[in-house]
Parts: sequence; structure tokens; C-alpha cells
Amino acid sequence: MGQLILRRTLYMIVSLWAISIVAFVVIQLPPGDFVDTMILRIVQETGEHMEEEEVANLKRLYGLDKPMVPRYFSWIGKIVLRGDFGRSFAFNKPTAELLAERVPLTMFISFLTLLITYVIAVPIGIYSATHQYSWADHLFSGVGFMGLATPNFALALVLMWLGFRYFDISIGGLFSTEYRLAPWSWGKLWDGMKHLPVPLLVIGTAGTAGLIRVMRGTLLDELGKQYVITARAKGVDERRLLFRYPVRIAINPLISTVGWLLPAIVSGEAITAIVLNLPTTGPMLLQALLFQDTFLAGSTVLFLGGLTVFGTFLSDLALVWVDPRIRFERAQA
Amino acid sequence: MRLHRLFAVPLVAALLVPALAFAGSEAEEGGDAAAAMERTSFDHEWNDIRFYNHIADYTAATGNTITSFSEAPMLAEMVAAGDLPPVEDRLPADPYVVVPYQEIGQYGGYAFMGRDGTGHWGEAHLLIGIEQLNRIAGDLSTQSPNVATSYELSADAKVLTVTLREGINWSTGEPFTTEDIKFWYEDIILNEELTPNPAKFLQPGGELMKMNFLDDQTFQFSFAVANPVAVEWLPHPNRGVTPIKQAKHYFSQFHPTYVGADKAEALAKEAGFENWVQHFGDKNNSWSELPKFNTDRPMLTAYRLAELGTDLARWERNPYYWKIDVEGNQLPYMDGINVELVQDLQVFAGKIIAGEFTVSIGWYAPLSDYPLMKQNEESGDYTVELWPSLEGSATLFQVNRTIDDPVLAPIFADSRFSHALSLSLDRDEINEVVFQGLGTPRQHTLIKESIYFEPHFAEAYAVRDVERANQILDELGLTWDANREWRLLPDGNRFSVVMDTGAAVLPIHELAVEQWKEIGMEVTMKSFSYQQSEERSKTNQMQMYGGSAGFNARSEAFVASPLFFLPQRQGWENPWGNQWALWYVTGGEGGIEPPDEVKRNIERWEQMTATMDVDEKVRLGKEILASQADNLWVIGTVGEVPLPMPRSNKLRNFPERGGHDWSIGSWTGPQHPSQFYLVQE
Repeated sequence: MGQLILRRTLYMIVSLWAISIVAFVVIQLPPGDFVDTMILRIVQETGEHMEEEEVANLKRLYGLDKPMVPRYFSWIGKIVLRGDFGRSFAFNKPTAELLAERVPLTMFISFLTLLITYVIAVPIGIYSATHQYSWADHLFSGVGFMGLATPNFALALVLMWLGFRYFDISIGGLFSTEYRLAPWSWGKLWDGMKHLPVPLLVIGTAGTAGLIRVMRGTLLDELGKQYVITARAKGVDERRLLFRYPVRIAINPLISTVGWLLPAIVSGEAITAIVLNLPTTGPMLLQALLFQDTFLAGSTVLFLGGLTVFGTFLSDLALVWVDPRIRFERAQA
Repeated sequence: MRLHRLFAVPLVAALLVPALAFAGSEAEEGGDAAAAMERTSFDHEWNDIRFYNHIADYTAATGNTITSFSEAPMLAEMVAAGDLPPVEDRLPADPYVVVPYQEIGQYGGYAFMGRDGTGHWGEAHLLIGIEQLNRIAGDLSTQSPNVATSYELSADAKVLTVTLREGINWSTGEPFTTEDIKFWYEDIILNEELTPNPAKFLQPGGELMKMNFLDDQTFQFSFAVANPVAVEWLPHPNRGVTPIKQAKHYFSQFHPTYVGADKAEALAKEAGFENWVQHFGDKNNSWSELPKFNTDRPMLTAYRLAELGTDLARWERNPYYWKIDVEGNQLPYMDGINVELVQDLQVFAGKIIAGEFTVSIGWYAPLSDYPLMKQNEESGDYTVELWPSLEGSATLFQVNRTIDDPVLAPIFADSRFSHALSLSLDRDEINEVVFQGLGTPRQHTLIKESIYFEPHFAEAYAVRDVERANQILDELGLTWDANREWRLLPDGNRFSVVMDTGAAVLPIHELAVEQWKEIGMEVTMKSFSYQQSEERSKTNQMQMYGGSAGFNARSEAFVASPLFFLPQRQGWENPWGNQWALWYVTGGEGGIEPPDEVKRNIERWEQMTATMDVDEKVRLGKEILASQADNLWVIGTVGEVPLPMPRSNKLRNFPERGGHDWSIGSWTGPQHPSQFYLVQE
């Protein structure tokens, strides 16, 4: 086990280094840079055209006059040596500060969504599998497919309109304006709670539907297997049998994908968040990419990449712990 | 000696009567009329919000006087708590007096706006305005006093003397004087590290301008050659602001001249920058008034940025703002402005019709949503009005006449080819499809209110005549192919060109390309980023270009920068005379020598900017525009397109009409945003 952890840690460092290069280079592959997008925007807003000398001065101020390689090393050097993730051009703030502002809320929403998804999906999946082709199974499947098929952003728009039309909840956002910049208080918490159901419902539906299908499918496979029949023949209590063996195996795919959940929890559902105007990291990343805000985009991608790598590591450990077969294979190898 | 004292008392009185009458009466007197006459003269449907340069002017005009000042309750509380000096000490002894548009406002309330998250906060200036040395007045044309109380151009037009209002304070409470302007000139412009290459407009005659500082309120721009156009800098939203936006007491703390090179570098390193230049630039990061993300920066505007979060920005009133209303109330009326990030434009539209925003700017409230906005006016408790944009043409088409291609070059260089392209455009269809029929189909030229305007400039080749267009192409030797589907080049290949469309292919591009198919022209569209476009233009790769015309269709903007009418700059937005522009900027060393007609236009413009004789100036300007109408250097489509301006019914003193144009000093600058107020319950 100790050796496994050591080996995986080494892999993690190498992957992170590769991710950092990809994050920095790929983001800058589209032609133009932040100053270019800014100039374009100024032209659109004001119709004023900047003189070449002014453009050159601006590029120098943002350090964009240097080639990409020295800029990469200066960026990664600061991260490794000082934990300084660079500054966002557009917000004129350190990237770390921006992430710190958005990550906690994002994680809160995502965890809550995840929790709700699991709490709803796993029991329904189990029920559907054990009561295959019952009317309830058909109903859940039907609803589940609808949830899968409905685009989240469309659902968000419809719910938002309903919320505005019938419940007088302001369109989009997680807080009303008066609480937006205010420090935390009971009022702010309550205000946030009022806005929560729509995002949770929207982000939750697709996930729930998918999970129900996975849970139902794998459990059905397991239920038909020899060991279940044997156990049943030996008179094991049906409920005890179900939760002791097939459910534990059926839950495997859920655990092996936990690694991917970690970055998903932090990045949040970008499209839904944009439509719902949620102050999460997804929309910020999209914006940073669109406006070539190099350090903000690069550092966010690196951060999410790091979480994926770390999450995969965790899920591997969890699998080893949950599934004796994997543990056994490793010991053999 | 000709004195250009536009701000003398007669002008203030004259602002109370329609500007046209003013211009007329002044013309009879001669002399000072010059400056007034050359300007765009708008009819007086425009809201003219009156002002007085001095309290004495107000007394002289109305017999009333202002003896005491009052302030917003939130500031009064701070004064009572000892956190702020009393209002008399914060205001200049002789503040600027604004006559509210509808009524004296109520203090309080936060306005609420949205933005789409582009790294820009320009929209907030709809309610903040900007503070240039001079303002553009309510007629959207003449200059009037603002931060400066008067100016004077010397007879030889080499020295421009400006006098600042006495007693203005920065939002930090420190006095604003010529020291701050001196800091800009000596420590920013003359500092080779901060400004290795000063902008060209600062170097008339090829020599960097000099500045003299006579006392705390008076300074001079001094030029090597006659430079009467410098007067246009004063109300310019960039040039009229740049010299007065760096507070010395704040910015000197990052500058090596004041703290020593070691300390400046150390401060920069500590803040995470590579050198002091980047650190300084970060604190002073604005090209014009638009992006200002530094919450510590001292301001002269009515509001200052107080908080900047990733999804909401908050501006709060500047307690040291230096304007009052006619009852002596310190402006602004509103406590502040919140700007929310709304990334999805559908949601933006939803919020507009729900009446959530105090006011929204045109690019978030597109013309295509106008019917929707109109429909929901009542339920959303807002009013949407159309504000004309002061554009000559929404999108322009250009043919690169200096293309490096032996087959295309003679065709593109022939003005008749541009005539054919223009004649085959169905501008009515474009107007209906893209602009809901609310624009004006026209050739590109200045707006009709301009003093340089002639109706036939706008009519030239602007009515659809496919037969004539075909005839022209036949004359040019572009024969039909066997199926009479496409035109052929003289070398036998099919005529097919690529049109650059800027950042995106717009419906207007697609419509034009379809319409050109009818005369056998195959035009394909490609979009490029700003930098790619700039490169393609500089390396002479662009064949055709279709893009925004910008807002230089007002007289003043035309004189300052006759972009599109002259090959004066080798930029992406102006590729029609690419190599001619290179010839011009390199003084004949590079590029291609332009034909006589183009050279004559360049000479005309150079004479225009140097002459003090207005009749001569107008004559020369009209010659340049006539040359455009004859040759179609650029092909216009639909112009004077209005944009919706939805505003909450709670917002008062806001103009019903204005110009959707930044160059007039932010869109609402002429109407004094500081006197807008929110009805309090």
C-alpha cells in the first residue's frame, strides 16, 4: 500500500507538470492576447482607434511583449516557489483571491447537488432494479430519460421564468442585490436559500437520471448472477442479501468516477451557471478564456487539473479499499 | 489677434436660447463665431441641460443666488461623526452649477445595471459620465466649461492656455491643481520607461509638445507648429481626460522620481510585479476613462469605484464632487451604482423586461429586442426610447485598392468597381432584416446634422440599380461564365474574393454577399481576431473588408480623425488604401505612391487642421467628402441606426433623447449624469 501511494504521487507530479504546460500554451494558441480583446472592445464601445504606440505601451504594461517561453517559466516559477498564481488582467486582482472568492460557494452548491443526486438516485436505482418492469420502474425510467434529454440551460430558463412570474424571485443569481457584497448574516443565508432550489433542481436532474440508469443496470446484472441465487437458495434474508453483496458491487462504477467528481464539484456546471448567473467558477473560467486572461485561465485550468489528478488518486485508493478483487490483484502483481 | 474665449458670459446666456440662434447671432458679430460655426449643429429636439460656469452667471441670468450648500444625508452623518469636513470645505468656493433637467432631485438610492462580463465597465459611465477638461454641451456639439473654466488659443495656434476651476478636490480630499497635470507630463509622458513612444497626436510637426505651468490653475500646451486641432482635445473622452486623471499625491508613491528607484522596484516586487513600470501601469490601468479597476485611485468623477467583486461592482458617491444644483445641493443625487455580471444575453433581456435595471446600454438591448421591450414596458415599470447613434453607416465595405495581385489590382483600383458593388446592394432589405426598418439607407458620409454634410454625399450610388451595376462590370471586362452564373476575371478564372469580417460574420455581411451573387460576384467571408486582421492589413493580404464604421461621423470627430476618407493609417479597420497609407506614414519611403486624387485629399485635410478660417475649412472638408461620394473609397450601407435605451420609471432627470455615441463624452455626458436621481419612497 505504501509503495502504491509513493508511485502514484510521482505520477501525479509528472501529470501536473504536463497539465501546466498544456494549460499555459493551449490557452494562448488562439491568435491575439488580452490587450487585443481589450482594444477591440474599446473600439466597439467607443469607436475610438488607438495609436500603435499606445498599443505597444499597453502590451508592455501587461508583460505581453515577451515571448511565451520566458512567460511560462516566470508563471510556473512563481507558483512553485511562492504559491503566487499570477494576476488576472481583467479583474486586476490576484488569481488566488478570485478563486478563493468563488470556490467555496461552488463547492457548497456542488456538494449539495451531489448529495441530493445520490440520495434520490441510489434508492430509486435499487428499487427499479429489484422491481423491474413494474409500473413504478416505468415511471422512474420515463422521468429519468426526460431528465437526461432536457438540456439544462433550457430547463433553467423555463424555471427562472416561472420563478419570476409566480414566486417573484429575481431572475438569476444566488443572492439579491442588497446581499451581494454584504458580509454573511442570517438574512443573507435565508436569501441564498430562497434562490437555491432552482439551481439544485436544474443541475441535479441530469445527474440523477444518469445515476439511476447506471445503478439499475449494474444491479440487474448482479442480481442474475450465480452467487445471488446460491445465497438465496441457502435462505439468506432477501434484504440482507441485497445490500451485503450486489449493491456493493453495483456501486463500484459510482466510486471509480468519484475522481472526476472533484473537479466537477469545483468547476460547477458552467453552462447552467452562466444561464442562472451563479457566482461559481465555471462562468469565470469561460470568461477568462474568451478574453485571453492568461493567468486566470491558466491557473484555473491547472487548479482543476490538479483536482482531477488528486481525485483519481483518491478514488483508486477507495476502490482498493472497497473492492477486495482489486486489492487481491494488486497484491498478486 | 483672435481670442477663442468660448466661455465668456454671452455664451452662458446663449445656452438658454437655441444653439442655432446663438450661432446665428454670433456670426453677425463675426470674430468668435468661427469656432461655433464649424460644428455639427443639431436641431433642438435634443435635450439641452443648462449649466452655469459660475454662481455669478446664475445670478446674472436669473436674479437668484446661492448662498449656502447642502449635502446628502449619508455625508451629513459622516460630517457629524467627524469623518468628513463640512460641505463648504469640500466644494470649490465657486462650484459648477447644474440646472436639473426635470426638477430638483431627491438624495439616495443605488442604481442597478448589468454588464455581460467582458472585462469592461464602460456601461456604468451612462450614470457616472466622465469629466473632461471641457464638456460637450447639450446640443451634442459645442464645447462648454467643465474642469476647465476657460481656454485660449494663441493667434498663431501654437499655444493653448487652459485655466482650471479653482478649489476642485480629488475624491480623497486632496486639492486638484496643475501639479497633477505637471506630474502627467513630466513623470509619465517624458518618462522614457513609462512612455517609450509617445502617441503621435502629442507630436504635431514631428516634435513632442511642451507644457508650461503658470500657476496652480493655469497651464499651456505649446506646439512646434500651428495646431488649432488641439482645441478638440479638451472635450475628447480620452485626450481631454488623460492629463487630468493622475493624482500626484497618490501615484507619486509608486514612482522612482519620488520614492527612489530602489523603493519603487521593491514595492513592485512586493506586489508581485516584475518592475515598477508594470506596478505603476497596474495602478493607472486605463487607456481612456473606460477601464478603471483600482478602487484606491483618486477620482474627479461623481462616483468612484468602491468595491469590485467578480460578479458585482459598486460605485459610491464622491463626497468631494464639485458640482451643485441651483439650490446649492451638492451633486450627485444617487448614493451609488451597482453593476451586476450577467453573462447570458437571453437572461439580460429577461432582466430588462422584468424591470430590474435602472438603465441599460444599447449593446445589451439590441434593436431586435425592441418590440419585446416595448411590449413589457408597463409590467416592468420602465420606458424604452430609441436613441440615434451618430454613425454614418453601421457597417462599411471596403475593397483593397492597393492589393498585390496583378489581375485584381487594376479592377480594385478602379472606382467604378466600388460603384457596382454599392449599386447592387439592397439597402432597404438590409434595413428591414437587420435594423427593423429603423435605420436610414445611405452612402457613408458624415451625419446629416454636420456642417460638412451635403444630401448628395449620402445619396451617391446608394439606390439599388442591378442593371447599371452589371453594365459597369461588363465595361470592366468581367465577362459572365457560360451559365451566366459567375463573373470571370480577365485571366479566365472565376471572380472570387475573400472578405474579412472582423471578429464575427454578421447577418449584414451575409445579406450583402447574397446580393452580390446577383451580379455574379463570388465573395466568401472569413472572420479574424483583431491581431490577425491587423497583420493581414499590414501585410496587404486583405482583399475586401466589411466592418464597423465607428463613430467618427460628427464634424468634430471627422476633423480630429478623417478615418475611412483618407488612407492615413495602415490599420485593420481601414484597408482600402493600405499601401498608400504606408507611403503616407513613411513619408514616401515605403508603400505605393497614391494617385493624385488621394494625394489631394491628404493635402486638403492637412490644410484643414492648420487653417483658422472656418469657410476655408468647411470648403476643404466638403471636397474630401465629395471625393468619397465620387470614388466610394468605402461603401456605406445603413446609417443613423437608433439603439434602444430602456430606463426605469424611477429614474428621473434622465433625457428622453440623446446621442448613442461615446465621443460626445460618454453617452449621457452632455446631460450631466450627476443630476439623475431615483424617486425615493
